[in-house]
Amino acid sequence: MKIESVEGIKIAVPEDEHLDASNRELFKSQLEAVASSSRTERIILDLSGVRFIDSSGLGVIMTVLKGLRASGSDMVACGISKPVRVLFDMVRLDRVMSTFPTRAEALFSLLRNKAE
Amino acid sequence: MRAVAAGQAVAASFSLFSRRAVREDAARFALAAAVAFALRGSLGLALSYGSGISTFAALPLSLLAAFLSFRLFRPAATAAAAAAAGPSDAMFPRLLDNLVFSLPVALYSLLALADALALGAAAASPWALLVLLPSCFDYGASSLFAAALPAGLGIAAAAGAFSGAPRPGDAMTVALALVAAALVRGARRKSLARDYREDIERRERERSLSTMRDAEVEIAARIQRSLLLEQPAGIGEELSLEAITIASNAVDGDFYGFIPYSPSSVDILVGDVMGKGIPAALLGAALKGSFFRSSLRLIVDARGGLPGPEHLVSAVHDAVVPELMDLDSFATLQYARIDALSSRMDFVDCGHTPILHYDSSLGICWSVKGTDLPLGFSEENAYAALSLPIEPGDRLLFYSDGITEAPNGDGELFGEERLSDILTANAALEPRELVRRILNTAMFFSSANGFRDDVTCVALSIARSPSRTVRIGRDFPFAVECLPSIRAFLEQVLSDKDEVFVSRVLLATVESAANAISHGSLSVRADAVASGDDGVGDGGLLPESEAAEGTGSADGAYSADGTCTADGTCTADGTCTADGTCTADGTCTADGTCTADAGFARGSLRLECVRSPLWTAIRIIYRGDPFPWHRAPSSPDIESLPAGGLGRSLMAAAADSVLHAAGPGDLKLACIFFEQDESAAKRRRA
Repeated sequence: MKIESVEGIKIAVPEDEHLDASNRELFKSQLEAVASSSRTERIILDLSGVRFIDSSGLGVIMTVLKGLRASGSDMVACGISKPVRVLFDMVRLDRVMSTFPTRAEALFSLLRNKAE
Repeated sequence: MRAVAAGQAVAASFSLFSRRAVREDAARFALAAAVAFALRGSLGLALSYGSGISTFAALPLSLLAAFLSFRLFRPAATAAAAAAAGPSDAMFPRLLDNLVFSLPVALYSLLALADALALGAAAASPWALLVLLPSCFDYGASSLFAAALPAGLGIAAAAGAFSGAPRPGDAMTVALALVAAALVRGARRKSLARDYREDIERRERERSLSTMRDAEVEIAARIQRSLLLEQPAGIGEELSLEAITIASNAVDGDFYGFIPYSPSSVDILVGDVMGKGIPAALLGAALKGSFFRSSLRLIVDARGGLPGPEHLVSAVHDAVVPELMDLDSFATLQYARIDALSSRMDFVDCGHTPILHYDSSLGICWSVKGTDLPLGFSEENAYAALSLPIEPGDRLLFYSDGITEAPNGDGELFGEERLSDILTANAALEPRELVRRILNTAMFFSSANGFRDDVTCVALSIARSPSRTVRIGRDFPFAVECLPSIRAFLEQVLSDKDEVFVSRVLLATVESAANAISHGSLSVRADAVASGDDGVGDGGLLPESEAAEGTGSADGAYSADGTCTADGTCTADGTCTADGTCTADGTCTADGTCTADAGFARGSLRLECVRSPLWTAIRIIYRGDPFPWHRAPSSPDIESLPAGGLGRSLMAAAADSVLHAAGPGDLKLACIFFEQDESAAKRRRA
């Protein structure tokens, strides 16, 4: 997983194009590492390279999101591909997590919130 | 003189019991009498005899003693009466019954006699008879007087009525005794004659009633056989159907019905109402009627379109479940629609025995089960149809538990495994011969006991013809590392479909495969690794580690070239492998090479994509433990994460039907079904 940082906001970019039962443990440890290093900073999960997520991958995202929320932080997702969108719509992910079409839009939204 | 009279009285009292064939009870009676006498004797001596209290003071004690003897004797007599009621002699229990009432009074008269003897009581004689008199008119006690009257006369004699010079009181006593005797004799004779007549009449009534009832049951059975359980008429060239039902009890609690829609499609209903006999048969007929009525109504409502099996069952639920619940009854049933033209079966299983599906492409038999509850179990009206692909040459068998639960001499049950073995071994037979062979085998098996329950067997065959589906199969290692390869394989196979559809297929398939792998038995996974280590897999089964690190995962190379699985397991004679399309042309099945154990190595997972113009089905075949697949939550709830069940509910949400079936040994099948037509999918989910 690549990790970038823009204006204090961490951007996590999974390099596998799938997040499923086969790489669940790796994805979990990497995302948790990002979350624990970021403290109160916010995280953007850039999924533009991901073309498939199953319940395992989704489970990891939700677990990490809950942990971040508990410590007053947050995570948003961007770059949702069409197949991933099918899953997100199925579980109505929008009820619990903000998603943005592009990284720029996600950054803009988070920075504006920070400024407010 | 007094002693002789007393002896006569006692002997006469007992004569009844020796005459009335209750000698076996005499010992009990003697015991009861001895207890009563002992009690009364000791109390009487202490209270009255010694202190000179009059006989009347001793009366309550006598009554107590009589009561005690009554209580002591009654259980034995009642038991004897109950036992005697079994055999045909209906007179006997009634006499015994009289006896039970008579005994305390007879005993009391003996006690009064003893009082008279002990006290020389002149006052006792008329009173003793007067005490007995009312009983003369008691129908129940009439038979007593054969014994009680001599006892009363004995009392009179003992009291001096027949000794010395006649006195005015003696004439009174004798007159009373004669009147009593006359009354008793008349009453007794009358009652005996009446008893006898009544018994004869009752027996005749019962006999004619039971004859009538037998005749009615016979007529009911005939009506059921001819009108309610019709033989399926010829459906057409594509399908052939045979049904047999055998009632354990003249009329049948099992029921079935068929609605042929076209030469290639038919609806089959088989059910089993709780219980047996006429009530069960009537309920079965009512249910069947409700199905036909609901079917007609839904067809009219839909202006000619066929209602889905789930909508039909749901309409029947509304019509019958309140009544079923009122009657504390329920029915299990299968409602299946078989359409050879679109190569599919859609069914609703309400807790019935599984459907056995002979899968001609693999030469094995799957036990297919749904998830819904029997009608009458719950007021909740939510039924889901499950779908699976069927192919020319397949066989479907519907049966009732009367077959599988038929026991042999050792109490062993026939069981589903034997049934599916027969089906597999006789798959070439036409339905008519097939059901006969099944019933003959089951009957032979349970010959010691016969069928204890109603037995039903409905077989359907789909005629051999060119397949209307395209089937592409491939084997993968039984490990989560194969998931990316599965995805890549499906993307390739479904490259002509639109992206959302493919995403749904991928999601449901990957979830299902992951579930199979994580819930499959540990031994299977151990085998997967072991076979890889040993090189047994011959390229078809990559060792787990290799799949994880090497070609198997991220880059998708593992499946792209198609080599590593096609020739692994499906190769027995090499015919199936050439182009990797194991079953597309059906050759793989004709010669039976691609079958059960030869085809499926432990530690591998076969994925088949079956495509029809109207639908796409994914079949995942593996060896493992049964997958715990109760119904998934209807909609995946993201907020309950990371609690379990999400995978299963995603599967259910992404696919139009998900079912799991068990095959021979530990072979398992997950079948995921997708409607091509979005409106069909929507209709199903509505």
